[in-house]
Amino acid sequence: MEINSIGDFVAAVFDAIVLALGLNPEATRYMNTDVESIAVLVTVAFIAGVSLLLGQSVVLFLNRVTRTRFLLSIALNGALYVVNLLIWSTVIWLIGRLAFDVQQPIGIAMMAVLLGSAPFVFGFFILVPYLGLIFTRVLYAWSLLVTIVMVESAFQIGWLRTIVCVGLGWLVLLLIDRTVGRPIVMVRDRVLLKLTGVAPYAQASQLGRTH
Amino acid sequence: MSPFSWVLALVGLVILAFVVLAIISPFESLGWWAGWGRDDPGPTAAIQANDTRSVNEPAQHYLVYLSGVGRLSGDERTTKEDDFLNRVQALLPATVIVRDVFPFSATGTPLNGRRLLARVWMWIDRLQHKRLRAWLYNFIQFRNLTQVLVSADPRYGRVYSTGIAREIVRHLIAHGYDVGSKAHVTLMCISGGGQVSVGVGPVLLEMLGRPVNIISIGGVLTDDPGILALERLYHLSGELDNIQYIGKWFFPGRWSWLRNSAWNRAVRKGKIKVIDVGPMKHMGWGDYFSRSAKLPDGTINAARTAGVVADVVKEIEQT
Repeated sequence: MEINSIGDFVAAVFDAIVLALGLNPEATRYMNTDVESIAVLVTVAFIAGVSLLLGQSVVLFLNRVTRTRFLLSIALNGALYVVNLLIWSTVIWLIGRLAFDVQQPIGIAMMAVLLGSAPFVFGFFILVPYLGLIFTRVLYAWSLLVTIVMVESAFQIGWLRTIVCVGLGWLVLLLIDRTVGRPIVMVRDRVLLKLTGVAPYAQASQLGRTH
Repeated sequence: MSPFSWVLALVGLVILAFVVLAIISPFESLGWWAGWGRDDPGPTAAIQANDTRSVNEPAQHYLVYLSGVGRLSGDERTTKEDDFLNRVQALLPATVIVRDVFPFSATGTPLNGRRLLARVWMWIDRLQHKRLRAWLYNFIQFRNLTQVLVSADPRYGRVYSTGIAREIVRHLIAHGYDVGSKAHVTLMCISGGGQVSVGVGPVLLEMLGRPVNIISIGGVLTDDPGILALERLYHLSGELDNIQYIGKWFFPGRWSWLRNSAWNRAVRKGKIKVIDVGPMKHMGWGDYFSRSAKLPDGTINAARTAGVVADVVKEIEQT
């Protein structure tokens, strides 16, 4: 992929998002491990992460963060979201390799999963009162669908096997998060708490009585 | 550009404006809660009334009126609304009617007050061209409607209702209410004020320590769990009013087969009483406040509605 200017880069990010949103297999042209493709897809996932937290930013308000910490939290969530997707893609790739003899390099799996985050660029719509709750589910379903299509395009192992890889990958990630990954999660939460004043994934039910 | 392109661009702009209004709608309440507002007293600040009204003796019953979505501030009402409230007042001379709560801002800031789009709302309100004004007023109604949805949203509802409850208490105090007294507090709402009232009910109950009743005049009632905290909800239903059913159609908790929803539990507990007020519409000529429209028995619509409200208030006082 050839990117010569910022304009080219923005156009490539936009193009990748549009192709992914439309479940278009042509998006596979961004599934390369060259620096440009990586930069484009990491940017897509970062925007998605930022937009998603903006949509779910009620948690930040409920915890009464300052404006500065609000912005910091949003930006950090973008970065954390990218890291989370990379871990998920590693697990998917491992399952594909061990269970279905996938020959593609891990980098391709990573790019496929990063593309799957594209629907969350609309994450800020989650803010819309009441309807945002429905929109959240639509976005998650859409993102899962894009991820499955992109992983299938990358692995070429058939839909059922792809669904097994992606689904199992998600379950394993959940398991890691709650078992061996706990110390890492704790460190992450502590760093976030220090920087932003908010523990990640704090719940709206934390809202106390104030009068 | 061809005329068709202009129309298309205009439609696009209108849709975009509605979408932007919807996206930014929770920020007023959330920003207030987080302490981002410059001058607004925060959610933990003591409630202080700004002024004291001409109420000499504390009353036994306070009726707080929460209007529909076509309102710019708490201080401005249509002549029809004021006439209706005067009728109710004449029937209930010992009751204080609080008319000036603006139910579509958690901070009590009117649309023509200190806010970013104040000039836009004021410009629309002052337009001389009647048809253009009526058309653009849809934006004001939509803006207020988004606040009704903020109230109904489980993520934002508690924050929003806390702000509105504080505003209600502030106005009650200004009208002579003594917090801690045994005076009745009843919310009387119309249209979009219905959901706001139900949402605010539990917060008001905590703040006042007194049971809260609601008189809904064709109110749009969603599946807000706040309904369970109310003493009773009296819903005045016009036979020609379909807008009152919006909550019933679009909020799953109102559907009868979801037996454990807050609404259906409230129905089983006998908290909801529907009163048929005859062939009245939601708005326009022939609505609940109409002074020229008459019911088949010759009663003026506004007189019938005011009479039913007065009867309900007396029923609340006797229980």
